[in-house]
Amino acid sequence: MNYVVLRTHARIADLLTQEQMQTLADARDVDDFLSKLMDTPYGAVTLDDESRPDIALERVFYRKFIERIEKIVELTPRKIGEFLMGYYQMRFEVVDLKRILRGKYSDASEEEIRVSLIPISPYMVASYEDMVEAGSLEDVVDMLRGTPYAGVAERMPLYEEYDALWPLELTLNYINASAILEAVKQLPTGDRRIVRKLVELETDVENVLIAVKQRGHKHEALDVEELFPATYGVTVSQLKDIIEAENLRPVIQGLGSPYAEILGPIYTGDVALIRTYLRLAKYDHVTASRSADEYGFNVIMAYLVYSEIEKDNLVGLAWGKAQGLSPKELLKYVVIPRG
Amino acid sequence: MSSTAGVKPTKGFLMDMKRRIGFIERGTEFLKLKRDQLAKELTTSLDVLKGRRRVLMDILQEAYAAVTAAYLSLGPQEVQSQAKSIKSVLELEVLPRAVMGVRYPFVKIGEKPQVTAELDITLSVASDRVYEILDDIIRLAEFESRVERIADELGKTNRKVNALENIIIPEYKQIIKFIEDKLDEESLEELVRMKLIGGAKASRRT
Repeated sequence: MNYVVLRTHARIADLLTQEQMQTLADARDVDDFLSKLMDTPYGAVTLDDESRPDIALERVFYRKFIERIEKIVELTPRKIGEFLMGYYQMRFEVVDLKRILRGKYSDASEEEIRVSLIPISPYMVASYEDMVEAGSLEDVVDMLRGTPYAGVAERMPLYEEYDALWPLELTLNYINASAILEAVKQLPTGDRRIVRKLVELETDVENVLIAVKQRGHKHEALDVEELFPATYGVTVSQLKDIIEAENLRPVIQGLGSPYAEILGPIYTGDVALIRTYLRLAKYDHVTASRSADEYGFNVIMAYLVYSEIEKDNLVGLAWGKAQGLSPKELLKYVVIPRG
Repeated sequence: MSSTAGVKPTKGFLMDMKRRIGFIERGTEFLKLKRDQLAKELTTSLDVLKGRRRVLMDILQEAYAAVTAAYLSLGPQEVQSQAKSIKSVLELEVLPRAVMGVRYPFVKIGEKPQVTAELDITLSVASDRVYEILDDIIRLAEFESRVERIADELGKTNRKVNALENIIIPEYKQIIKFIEDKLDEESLEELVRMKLIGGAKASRRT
């Protein structure tokens, strides 16, 4: 374990610094961004689609992130490695399954669906390719039977009733969160806290965002329990208050720290900034855990969280540069590494 | 080449030319009236357009900021994937309408996209903002097109009036003058001839 922690410390040093992130944000355009990226550990990057450099770069950054996870997993003890692979692979697999379902729902071509997928190998399902080639959304759902995602099939009546994908997507989110929390049990007791906190924080904030979205108009008849199958620090009753309250401020304030701070931008309507604050809270959480124990699992988890934030930042910056956005507009949503 | 080349200096032709120039002058007057009306319409429309644009630009900037925030929060692939789960599309029918004979497109909105998918909240906010101003964007595009067509027609009408006033009418006037001069000349010659014949007859009688 000590060896892997030492290696992870070295890898943390390879992550982009505050100055490097600022330099990339200052790039004039995508070409300048690519040339500035060459001076970082990412080096020269080859784009597989010149017509959409932002999308091609997103794939590059995902590949790099997955490569980082795999390298760490190779070094970690088996149980931790299995947990980490499961944690990230399942998250990405859920994203890919949602994209396949959306593609089938909208009758997108197989190629369109294929290029939209995160470049990972199947984790709990047999094959993405079979799903991409499936004749309909129902066929894809049938393929999920016998996998940990079988619960999706049970929500098909709701999908048919609303002719909408959200019952299936919410189920996938729930399955993912439950599986991660179950997998956490494999970890030694001391290491569970950091992961549990990350998962719970993320689920709670996403639940609040879903609740905020329900205010006023959508799915009036829907049971709140169905909408929030997994809740932790923010209870179903608090989520119900968020949906029904005339004034959101006292309800959000009542959620206490760290939710009140993370959800602060909700008053100005800048909901995207909430995600940035969530990333920042995760960043601060793993940083604090790391400083509490410099030689444990905390360091590995911190590295992976930093890497994921870096990936998200770079995806955003690349898109922003392709759109000609100014550094000021971009940096508002970027969690700049501290120190 | 002179405008009088090939002109037959006959009374019939003169009457025909006078009839034609009367018709052209009346047409020119009508065109001038149309030009003035179009200019008036254009000035008013431009003021309205500026106002509408200013209002829409402010709202558009807000909508664009929301779309930008959604892209930065989710990444381009996720935004595109979620956008795919919106099944229905915007259906528009472009029909012709006319003002003072100027045809412009009128956009009839058939079906609007219905967002029934579980979009991420950032994308949902962005789609709501764009949805709110969808009608306004279409109406503004329609109005801009109308203004452009009016400006085009004003330019054409102005060129026609200028051509008639500065080229066609002066040419006709020149032709008429030429025929009248010719006819005057001919009648003077006829008078002199008659006088000479009359004088010769009188001297023969004496």
